[in-house]
Amino acid sequence: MPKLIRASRNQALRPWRAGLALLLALPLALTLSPPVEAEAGPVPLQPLLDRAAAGSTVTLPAGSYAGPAVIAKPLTLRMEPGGELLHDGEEPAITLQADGIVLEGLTVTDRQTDPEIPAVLVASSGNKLRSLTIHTSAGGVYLRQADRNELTGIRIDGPAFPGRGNPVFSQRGNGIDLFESHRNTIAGSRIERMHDGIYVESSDANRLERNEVNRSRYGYHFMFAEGAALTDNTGAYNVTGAMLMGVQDGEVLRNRFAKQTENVNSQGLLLFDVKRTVVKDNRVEGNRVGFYVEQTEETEMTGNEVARNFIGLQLLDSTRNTLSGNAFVSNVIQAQATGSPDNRSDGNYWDNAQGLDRTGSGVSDLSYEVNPFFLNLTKSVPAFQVLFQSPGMPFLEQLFRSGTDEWLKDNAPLMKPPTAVSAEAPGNAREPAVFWTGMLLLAVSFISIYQWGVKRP
Amino acid sequence: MRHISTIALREVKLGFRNPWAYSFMALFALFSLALLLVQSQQQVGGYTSTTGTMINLILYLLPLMTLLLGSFSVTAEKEEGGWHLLSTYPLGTMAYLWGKYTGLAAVLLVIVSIGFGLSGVLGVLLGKAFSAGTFGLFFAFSVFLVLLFLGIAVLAGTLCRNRWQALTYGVAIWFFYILGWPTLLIAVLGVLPYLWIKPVLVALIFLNPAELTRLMTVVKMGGGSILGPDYYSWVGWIQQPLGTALFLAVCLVWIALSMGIAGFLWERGRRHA
Repeated sequence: MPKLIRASRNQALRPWRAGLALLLALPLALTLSPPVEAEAGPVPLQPLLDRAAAGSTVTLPAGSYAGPAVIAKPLTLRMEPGGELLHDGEEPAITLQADGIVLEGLTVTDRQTDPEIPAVLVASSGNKLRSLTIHTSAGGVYLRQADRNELTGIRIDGPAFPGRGNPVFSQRGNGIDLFESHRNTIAGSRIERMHDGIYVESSDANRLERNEVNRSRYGYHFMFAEGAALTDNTGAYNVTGAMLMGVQDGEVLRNRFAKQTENVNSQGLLLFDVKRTVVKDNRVEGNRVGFYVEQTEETEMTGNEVARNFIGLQLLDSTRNTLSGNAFVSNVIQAQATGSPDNRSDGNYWDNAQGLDRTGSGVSDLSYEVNPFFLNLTKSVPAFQVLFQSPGMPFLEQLFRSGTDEWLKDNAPLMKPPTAVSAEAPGNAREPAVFWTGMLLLAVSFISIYQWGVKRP
Repeated sequence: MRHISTIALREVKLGFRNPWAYSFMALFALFSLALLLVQSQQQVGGYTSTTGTMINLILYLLPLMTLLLGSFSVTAEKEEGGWHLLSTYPLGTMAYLWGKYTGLAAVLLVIVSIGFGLSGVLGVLLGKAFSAGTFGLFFAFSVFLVLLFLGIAVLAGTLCRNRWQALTYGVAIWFFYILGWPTLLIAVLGVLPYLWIKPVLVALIFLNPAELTRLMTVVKMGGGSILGPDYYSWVGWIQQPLGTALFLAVCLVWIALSMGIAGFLWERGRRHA
C-alpha cells in the first residue's frame, strides 16, 4: 500500500532549539486578525502562519480560510467558533512539520477525495491536536513517523452514504491513521462513516481511550502493533468493532461494541495472531459474531460480557489462552471452537447451560461443552452455513460426539453471571400493538370456535 | 365456488368438534407461552437465542400438527364413508379438495392464533413481550408453514388408505423435512464436486418448505449476515420487496402443485373405483 511519508526529517527542530524558541516567543504571543479584504473569499492561511513567530499563538476569528498550510515552526494555531478552513488541493489541508505544535478548535472542510491524503498530516512529534472538526471523504488525521502526539476531541465525519444498499468503504480514507508512529494518545474522539475509524500500523505503544466510531468499516484497526491499548472505546454499526492483528502485549479493556450485524463478515472484536494480550471487561452485544479469535496465544479474556450475538465466540486454532469469568448471554449459538486445545476455559457463565450445583459453591458440577461439528463443517464447505440453527442440526450434532477431549470445555460453569449482567435489551415490554393484536386474535378464534364448534344450529 | 365454501364450512365444523384439534391447540399455546416466560429478556426482538429457539419450536410442532390433522381429515373421509356419500352429488374433485384445504387451514390458523394471542397478551401483562415487528414476523412465519404443509398433508392423505397409514406418512415426511434434512443434505452433497454444492444446496432449499420459510424469517429478522459471504447477494436480494414477492410466488407454486397432484391422484382413484 503506498504510504504518505512526505515529511522531510531535516526540518524537525531539535528539542532544545524548539524549547528556546518557545521561551523567547512566549511574551510575544499575539492575536492576528485576518486582513480585511474587499472581496469576500477565503483568506489564505499560509501567509498568516509565515508572519507568526515561532512559539506565538495565532488565533483565527470566525470566517473562512483557505488551505493548504504547512506549519514548520512550533506555534499554537487556534480557531474561534464560526471559522472554517476550506481546502481543495491534492496535498493535505494542514501539514505539521515542526515538533510542539498546538492545533485547537479548527474546523476543516476538505473537498479532495483521495483516501491516501488526509486533511491533517502530522509528520512531527509532541504535538497537541484538540477539538478539531473535519469533514472529508478522503483521510482525516494521518500520523507518519510521528511520536508522542496527543489527539483529543477530534471529530471526523465522512459524507453520508448514498441511499440504500451496502456502503462502499474503500473510497473513503481512514479517520485517524498511524504509520510508524509510537506512543501517541488518541482520546475522546468521534468518527463516523469513514473507512477505518482509527488505523494503527507498525506503530507501538499507542493509547486509544474513550473514542467512538460508528458506521465505518473497522472501528479500531491495529496491524502489527506492540503494546496497543484500547480502553473505554465504543463502536456501533461498523463492519467490525475492533480488529487486532499481529498485536503483542496489548490491552483491550472496557470497550463496548454493538450491532455489528449488517455485513456478512461482521464481528464485535476480531483477534488474529494476537499474543500475551489482556481482553478484559468488554461488552460485545448484538453482533454477528461477538468475539472472533484465531491463531491467538497466551491471551487473557476475562470478565467480558457477550450478549445477543448470532454467535458469541468463535475460537480457531488458538492455544494457551485464558477464558474465564465471562458471561455468555442469549447468543443464538454461544460458542464455536475448533483446533483449540490447551485453553483454560473454566468458570464462565453460559445462560443456556444445564447447571447442577450440589455443594452450593456457585459452580455447576456439570461441564459445558462446545461442539466443534458445525464450525468444522462450515470451514470445509462454507455453503453449509445456510443450515445455521436448522432444527435438524442439534440432532446431527448429537450423533457426532466422539473425541470430546479436544473440545473447548468449561469444567466449572458459573451458576450466576459473574458481574451484574446488563442483560436487558433496549426497548420495553409495553407493546400496545402486540397486546391488542393478541386480543384480536383471541377474540376471532374464540368466536370462530363458538360459532362452528359449539353452537348447535 | 359455492361447492368449495360448502365443503370448507363442513370441514370447519368437523375440525372444531375434533378433540385432536384441541389437544394440538393446548400443546402449541402451552409451549409458546413457556418459551416466552423462560427467557430473561424484557423484550423479544431481533435474532437472538430466544427467537432462534422459538423458530425451532414452531418448526418442530406446526408442520407435524398440520401433517397429522390434514392427512387424518382426508383419510377419515375415505374410512368413514363421507367421501362415498359426497361423491354421489355433482361435486368436482378439485372443489372438494380445495374445500377441505380451506376449512382445514381455517381450523389450523385458529389454533395458531390462540397460541399467538395468548403469548402476545400475557407477554405484555407479565412484562416479557415480543416487539411488534417480531410478533408479526413470527405469526406470518407460522401461517406460511401451515399453508405450505397443509398442501403436502392433503397429498399425503390422498395417497393413504387409512389413518394409520397417514400417521406413518406424516411422521416420515416430518422427519425428512425437519429433523433429517441437514444430515441428508450433508451426506448427499458431500459426494458432489465442491463447486456444485452451493447451487444444489440453494435449489434444494426451494424443495423444503420448512427451510425456505425458516431462512426467509431469519433474513427478515435481520439475521441474514449469519449465512456468511457465500449468500451475500442472496440475502441482500431477499431483503428487498422483490424477495418477498418471489417467496410468495414459490409458496403459491408449492401449494398449487401439491394440491394439483393430489387432485390428479384422487381423480384417477375415482375413475378406477
